[in-house]
Amino acid sequence: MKKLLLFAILLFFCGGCTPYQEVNKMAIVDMIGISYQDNNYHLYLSVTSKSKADDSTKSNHKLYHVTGKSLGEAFSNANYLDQKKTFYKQIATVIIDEDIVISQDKMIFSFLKNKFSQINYLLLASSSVDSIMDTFSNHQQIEQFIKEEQIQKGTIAPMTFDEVYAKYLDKEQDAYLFSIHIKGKHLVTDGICLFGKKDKLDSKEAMVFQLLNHQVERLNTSISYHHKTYALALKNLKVSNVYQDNKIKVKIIGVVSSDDTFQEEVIDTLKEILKQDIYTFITKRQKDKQLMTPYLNMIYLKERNRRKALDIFYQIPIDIQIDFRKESA
Amino acid sequence: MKTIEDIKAAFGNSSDLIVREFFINDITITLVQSEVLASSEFINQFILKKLTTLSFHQQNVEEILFNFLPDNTMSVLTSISEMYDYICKGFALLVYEENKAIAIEAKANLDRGIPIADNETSIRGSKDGFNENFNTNVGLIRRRIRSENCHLDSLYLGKETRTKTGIMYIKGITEEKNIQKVKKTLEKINIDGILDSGYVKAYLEDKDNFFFPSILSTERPDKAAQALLEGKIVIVVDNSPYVLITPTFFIDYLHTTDDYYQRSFNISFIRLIRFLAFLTAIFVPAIYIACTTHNKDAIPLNLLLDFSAQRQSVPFSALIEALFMSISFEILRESDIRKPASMGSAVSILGGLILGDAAVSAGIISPIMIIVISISAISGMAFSSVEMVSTLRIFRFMMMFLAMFFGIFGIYAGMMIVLASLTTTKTLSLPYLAPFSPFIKNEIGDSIIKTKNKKVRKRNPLLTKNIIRGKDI
Repeated sequence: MKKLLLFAILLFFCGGCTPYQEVNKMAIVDMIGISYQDNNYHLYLSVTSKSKADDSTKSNHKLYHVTGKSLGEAFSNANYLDQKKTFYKQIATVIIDEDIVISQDKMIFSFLKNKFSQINYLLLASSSVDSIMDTFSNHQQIEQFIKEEQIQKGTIAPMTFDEVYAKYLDKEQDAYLFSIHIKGKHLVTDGICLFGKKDKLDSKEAMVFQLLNHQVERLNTSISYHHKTYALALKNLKVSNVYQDNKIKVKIIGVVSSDDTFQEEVIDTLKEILKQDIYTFITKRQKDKQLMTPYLNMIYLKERNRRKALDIFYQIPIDIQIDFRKESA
Repeated sequence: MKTIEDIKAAFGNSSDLIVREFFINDITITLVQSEVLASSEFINQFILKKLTTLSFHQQNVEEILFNFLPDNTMSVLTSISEMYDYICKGFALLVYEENKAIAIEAKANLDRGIPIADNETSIRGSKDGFNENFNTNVGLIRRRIRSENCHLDSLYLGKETRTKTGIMYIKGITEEKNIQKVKKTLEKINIDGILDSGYVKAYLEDKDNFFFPSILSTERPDKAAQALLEGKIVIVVDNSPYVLITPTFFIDYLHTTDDYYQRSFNISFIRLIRFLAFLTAIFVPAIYIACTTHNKDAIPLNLLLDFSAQRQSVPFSALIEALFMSISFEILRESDIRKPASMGSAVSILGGLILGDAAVSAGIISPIMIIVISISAISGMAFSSVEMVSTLRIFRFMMMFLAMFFGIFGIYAGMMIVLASLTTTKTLSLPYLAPFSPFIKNEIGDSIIKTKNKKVRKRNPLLTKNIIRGKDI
């Protein structure tokens, strides 16, 4: 009994040592935006909450804007919002000005890693962050946009901070982030930013990059054939990258469907266009000696190690086979 | 007669002590009985009526009384202390000379019959339960085990109450050292009175046990009989409708006797639910407190926002809120048990519905806290053992404090305390956590997951050397 009493007293003394905070006394941030303008870091915080109204609950979002000479100072200024302690551990999306990441990637990544334990999506903004945050204060809208774009165009994919950070730390890989900008009231994908190499892929290249990287299972596209435009849906896309007969063989299979009636020739045209896009992408990347896709790079690295030749990296020919079939009714 | 004077003096001339003198053939015979403990009807009908028909003289009085009065438990008493004892047991004493009497059993029927076991409800099994009569209770067990190997050793405990206490076991199954240990422990009891088996229980528990109960009480004869067949010892205490079973393991508290009367597949599921209820009863309020005060990143955002919205108007911390609800529930439960049945469901309605709803409307507690505490409290009711429910309550409060101070880490620490307590608890010096620690392969089939009854053919080797229960058909 004495031991228990001692334990209880110790418990009371230790009580103050822990970071205790009631959930209703916290400003829960679900999305933040970071930009740098006029020698100041600008921090945009979307605070989310729910309020009870009669028998239903309503979601509320409020955007806060703080500035600081350094990122640390900006976050320090945002310690309390409306007299509530700011809570960052439920952050779902972080949107950062593309220029900051390109110029200060080391600082940004170490800061984010230390500051946040959980970020679902990390995105770059090629246009002003404040206008994106103003228009889309809810992270769910951004996530919805990413999912739709992934299905429709294949130019973007959900990528968590941990995935990006793992690539960033891996010296054998080039880390990249998806870039978005705002056009009117709509978000638009802007390609892929290879911030380590200060390089960028446009939207079309991003789609090819994603496709070769096994990240696209379906995409919607449209092609013109004999003065008629066909809206086509590519489904069940599967890509294999194999090194065989001193070549990298890329094989793409899938099913094509459309609400319009179309002939096999339309599929052939689609294959040709896609093949051309892929060749253009690969030729350009080989020429610039830049990252192709993590999958292709793995094959290159393996072959380079086998042949013990550094210059082999961008000289292996690539053979592309596309096998699309029409979806049966 | 000096003997009669001594008896009267010993009982302080109690008004319920009846002393009546008869003169038969110039011999004085004095009837001494307790008015309340002995049946006057029986005495009039079968002793006095017969007595008047007998003819004897001073030389053969003892022989005549002993042989012609109708009683199979008749005793000749030769000391005054024996006489006191027999009067208190409800015997009628016929004192025929100084320090000499014939005791005839004439106990009044003070029983309430064989009741239904209220606290251990049976779905499929027998409905009868123990009552306050020692003989009835032993009889209910013997009716189930009709074997000469089922032994009963009796002793009287309590200097003033002289409560009859029986130790039941099956010879050849129960370990002799366990029987001796129980006997020695009971013989050492030195107290003025034993009013219920609960008194005895305190002596039988190992002194180092703190949290978990290690003596099982039951009001069901089939459970007691089953315990005997497993090699356990059953202790029957007069005036108590609960018999004690020792040794008992932690897993026994997750079992009911009904488990053996139903399909094993269904019972395995029910036992899993009971185990889940055990964890829920202890941990749910603590996890809620930890998640809303320390580990807010451990739950999905939407749920966190719901918790936050529900707590907006609550002025107290989560712990105070949880304590308020838990203590209110305990008060309600206690008043519900103690209140007269005539008050019906008034307390339940007032406490459960009106106060609960009003407290939420007034913003004293959040609706989610009512859900959390209710789940925890209801889970605690999955156990019929009052001691286990009390243990769960203590752990629940302890976990709530640990969660408040240290969050999830506090709960981990608490879990370690629960586990340490389970592993260090002993029941008759046997490990409480068996068959998990030590691992006993034979018993695993009847722990949480239950194999078919016909496959459980072996006894727990910790309890007996005679482990074979039966053979394959």
